[in-house]
Amino acid sequence: MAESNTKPKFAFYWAASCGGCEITVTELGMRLVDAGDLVDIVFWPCAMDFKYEDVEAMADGEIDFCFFNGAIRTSENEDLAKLLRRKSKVLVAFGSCAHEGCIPGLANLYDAESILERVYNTVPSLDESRGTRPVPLSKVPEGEIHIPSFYDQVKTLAQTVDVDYFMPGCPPVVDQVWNVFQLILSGQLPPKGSVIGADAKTNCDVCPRQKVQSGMRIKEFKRPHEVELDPDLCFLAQGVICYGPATRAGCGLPCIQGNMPCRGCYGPPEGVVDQGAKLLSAIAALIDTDEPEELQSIMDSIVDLVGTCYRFSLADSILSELKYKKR
Amino acid sequence: MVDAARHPKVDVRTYTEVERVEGYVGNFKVLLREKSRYVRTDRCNGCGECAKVCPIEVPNYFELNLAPRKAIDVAMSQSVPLIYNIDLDACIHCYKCVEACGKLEAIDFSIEDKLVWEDIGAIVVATGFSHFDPSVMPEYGYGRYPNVITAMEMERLNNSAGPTAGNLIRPSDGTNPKRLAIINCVGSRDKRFNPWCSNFCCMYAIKNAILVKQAYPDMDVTIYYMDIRTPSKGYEEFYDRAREMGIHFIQGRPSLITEDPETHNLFVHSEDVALGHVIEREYDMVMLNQAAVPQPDVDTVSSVLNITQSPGGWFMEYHPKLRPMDSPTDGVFLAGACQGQKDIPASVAQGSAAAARAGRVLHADEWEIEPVVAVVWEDRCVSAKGKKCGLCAKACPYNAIEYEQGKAAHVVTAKCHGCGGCVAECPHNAITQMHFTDAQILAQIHALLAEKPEEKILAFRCHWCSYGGADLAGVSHFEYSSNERGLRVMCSARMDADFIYEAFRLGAGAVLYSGCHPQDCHYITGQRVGASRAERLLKAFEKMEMTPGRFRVEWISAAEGDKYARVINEMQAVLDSIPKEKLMEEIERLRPEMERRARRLREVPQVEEALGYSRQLEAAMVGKEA
Amino acid sequence: MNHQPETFADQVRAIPGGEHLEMCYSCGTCVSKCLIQQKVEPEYNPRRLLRMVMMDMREEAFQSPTTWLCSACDLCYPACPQQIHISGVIGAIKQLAIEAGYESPLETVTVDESLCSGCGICVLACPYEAPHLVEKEIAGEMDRVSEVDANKCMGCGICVAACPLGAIARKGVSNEEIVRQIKVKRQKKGVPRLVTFVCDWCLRADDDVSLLESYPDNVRVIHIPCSGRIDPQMALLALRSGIDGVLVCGCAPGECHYKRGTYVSSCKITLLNRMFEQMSIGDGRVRFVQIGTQDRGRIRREVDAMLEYLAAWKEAR
Repeated sequence: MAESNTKPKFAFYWAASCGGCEITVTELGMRLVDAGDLVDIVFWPCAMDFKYEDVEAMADGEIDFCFFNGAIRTSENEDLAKLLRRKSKVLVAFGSCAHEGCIPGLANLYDAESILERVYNTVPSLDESRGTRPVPLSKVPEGEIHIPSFYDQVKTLAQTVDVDYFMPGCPPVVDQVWNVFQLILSGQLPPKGSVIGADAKTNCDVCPRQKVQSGMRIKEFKRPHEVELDPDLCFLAQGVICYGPATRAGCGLPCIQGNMPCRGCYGPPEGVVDQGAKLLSAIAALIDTDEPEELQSIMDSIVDLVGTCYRFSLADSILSELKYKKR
Repeated sequence: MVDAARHPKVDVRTYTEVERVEGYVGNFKVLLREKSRYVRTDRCNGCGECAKVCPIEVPNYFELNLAPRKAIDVAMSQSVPLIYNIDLDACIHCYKCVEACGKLEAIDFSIEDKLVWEDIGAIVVATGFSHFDPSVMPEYGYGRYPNVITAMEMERLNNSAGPTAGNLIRPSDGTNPKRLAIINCVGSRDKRFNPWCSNFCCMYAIKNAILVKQAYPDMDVTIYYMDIRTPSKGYEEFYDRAREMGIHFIQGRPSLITEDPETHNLFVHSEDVALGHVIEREYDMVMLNQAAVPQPDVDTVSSVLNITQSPGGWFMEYHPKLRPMDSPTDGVFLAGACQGQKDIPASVAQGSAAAARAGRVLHADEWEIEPVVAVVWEDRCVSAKGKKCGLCAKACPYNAIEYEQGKAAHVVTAKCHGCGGCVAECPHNAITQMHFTDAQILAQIHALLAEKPEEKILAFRCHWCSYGGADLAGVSHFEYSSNERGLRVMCSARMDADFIYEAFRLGAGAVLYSGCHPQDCHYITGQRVGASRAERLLKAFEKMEMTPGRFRVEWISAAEGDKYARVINEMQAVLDSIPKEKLMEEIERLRPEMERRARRLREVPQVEEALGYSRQLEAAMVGKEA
Repeated sequence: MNHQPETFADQVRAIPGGEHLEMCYSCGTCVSKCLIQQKVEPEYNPRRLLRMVMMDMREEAFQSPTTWLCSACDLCYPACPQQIHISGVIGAIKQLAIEAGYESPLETVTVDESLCSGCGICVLACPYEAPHLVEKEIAGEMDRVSEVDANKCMGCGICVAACPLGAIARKGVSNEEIVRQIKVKRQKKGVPRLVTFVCDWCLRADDDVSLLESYPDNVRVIHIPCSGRIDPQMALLALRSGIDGVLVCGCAPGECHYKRGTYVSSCKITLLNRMFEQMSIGDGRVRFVQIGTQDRGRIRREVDAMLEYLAAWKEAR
């Protein structure tokens, strides 16, 4: 590692996330070996043994670029976000969790107390609850044990610290990871705040399916498992909510090719502030009725509205903002 | 009314309903239900002491529920005879009224409805009309907006004997309105409800406007109208007078009334058609001039009296121009708005005319009828042999045939008008019509088709319409094919299917089946009987693959000479378009089927005899030609 | 038989919808039922247009604003005492006018083809089948985009709200123009701030319309062509900016000037409220009211009720 001093220093950290983003990086395969030659990995707790003290010991801005994946759920997540921000020249919100909250962000539907209550007391898979709850500070004979505290709200990285670039995807697809890697190494970076590793267009733009025609309005919204899906026809035309119209392209449509509607993990395209509200606006325009009663039944056919419209973007939504501003 | 009640020869029965009518002109038997008033008509002197003590108040229907009445009361103070009556649904049986009546002992709760049979010579129906309920038109808000009232409510509010003693007030707050709108044609001339013009409401609106304006000269009175119709003597002058008085007239049918929820003032939205602008004007009160509609129980009255209805439910007159006060049933006459929406002068005129017509019946010892009546050959009627049939009775528009299984059908001659529907409908040829027997008609068919039948167009015409149409075509010198051969029967109902089959069996080139337009039928529903048969024939011939157009069904009125000529010429064109060999081939092909279908005709009494005669005639004619 | 040359009326009658033309007896119900003359164009008059057809005034009919402004809301149809399907007749006249080379004078929507992804949402959103997807060359590449038939577009803006990319705009009511209006002056403590979106067609009475001008400055009234123009993001932006409540006023069911706008907006606002509920955010701050043609004075009651509710809500917070 002696000669590595000339290579750019790279850090890769995970906060509240599933680990899928790390798997994507490992899926780079042989390219990962190339990457290892190009950069000096200074921090990657998932893959190698580092200590937080190592990072703290670095000078501010010493890390050339840092991929940060995962949302901010605990005090530890927040501390590390702040720490890595300080130590990194370029901080990339890597993957949907850091970008817009992703699935962990759906926890914003509930408050911390009810989540803990469920997990430690009432979840059906629990044989017998002993009423144990994690507490930030426990005193044991050996001394005090600190664990991170659990926040009420899931935040995105950008809601916590200043972020330079956003890389969407749950997880980001492998080729895009490589593209971003090279982009950063090339130094040809776009203006700060840009979304990288994705396209400017939306998935509908690149989707090969046959599009809707007039007269294909929707009388009942269905979930993918409730219909035999035509692999060549637009999902919306089949009454299945697809995020394609409100989602940035760049993933290469793996879901759509697998005959599943787009789930929206690549986030909103340029100009959309609130992805869920925009999607709601679009799907409401598709309803086929002029009867108030029928309107009710069409609306009732959408199961788990927030989960449907904000599957990946709830933490980053105005909805979350309104909820937590209140407190 | 009082005069009538006092007349020694007039028997006024109020609160009485006609339950059943049997018999015929001059000899009706009528079953009357004299409904119980729970007050003895022979004792009550109308003093009203009972109503004064009655503790129960119910809405007064005569005042359109704008005022109360007592559970024992009279409908209105001018009732004739002035006899009180108890609304048993409201009565609490406190018997205060019995006490008040005292020695008169007129109140008797044990009185029940009485059924009486009366011998009646003639019946005049004068059941009047009803009003359209504007609450079914949400755009005008009647029933929701307190200050939107109907014309009849206005009538009561503006009447010195009414609930407000003639003080016109707003139902919402009891103040006098300063601005009044009257909307015409509410439910009339409106295909959603009643297509007709209600006849008198223009004048009625003007009358109300003038009355209100006279009582309240400062009031702004506006009439919204589509057309003001003032067709009778003095009416247009009356309209002029209203305008001179400063009553506003706005041409434009309001589409909407909105209400200020606080003041309950009303805003009428309409186009001023003369200006071409939409206007929204504010009023304190709006009167809806509702359509005149038939009474709700017209169907019951129709079936009891065996009289029919025009479209919409008005009672049908025998003839709109010649006999407008007669019903189609002899001895039953129509007077007033039950026959059609009309104003007071017209109702009085028709009433007097109907009375005179009824007098004619009452003064006659004998009653002459048309001789073309139906007669049953009792030995041929299958009902006499115990079979179920009754088709003749079903076809009769006059209920003139008494049918009972096990007995031969019986024609009540006095009721029969001679359409011949029963004769044609009887599948066993057990009825004949005097002067239009099967034999006679058949002989005519044979004679008309004696020579070159394939070139002929045999036209069955009904006496009242299509025959007249053909006649008019002649006198108007409308040219039509000389191959047409006309045959007159009284009604298209008489045009027996057998005649048509026989005509085609004889090789007729084409056959026309013609009669009145449905609404013009002289025999009420005769045309309907004929039309459904024609429909069956058309289907049968289509199945036989007969060239379309060789059998044609047309409804032609007596005024449609041009249509008659056109139809015949079109039929000639059809014949001209078929090559002769092909036509002959088709006639031969269909002949066995026609023969099979017309076979029963031969069994009819007198037919063979008549045909024998016509064969001689035929031979003679053919011989002459040779 | 005489063979008269085919008249203008014959041509109109021959087009489906144009059949019952001659039944009109000029009562004017349609004219006053419709709001176009009152609100947009003094020359608008269906009764006169039908008359022009009967009198063979072809060119005048083609140039008449009535031919182009009718949005086929069919408010007049059930009210017509002669049961003439007036919008059908007008549609037939419009078809003939287009065939004769006339073009709609209306302000219509435009598509930014560089943004459009060709998803087809607008195709389904439009009440008039104006947009359709076409393949065309854009910046040197073949791309699938939406193209709007300007003769069919009535300018309601339902598609503008529906477009997930903001690729469709209508002059005067583009996203930016509306969002710019979403602001209410700071108020004294406890005074609620309200943004009211009012559809151009739901208020019939003149005094209701003038009422909108007279609200104090804590109520911002934003005029939109149709409640279907609203998108939930606007309501969220308003709330985020600190505005306490959003009231959207549209037409009653069956009375929408653009046929389906009121159903679409009702769906949007109802679902938005369901989301609030799911998120346990205080509900009732975004409301949709459907104001019928006879609901005179209702706007005042609704705004007052909303302000009262918001004041209580602020108080409780």
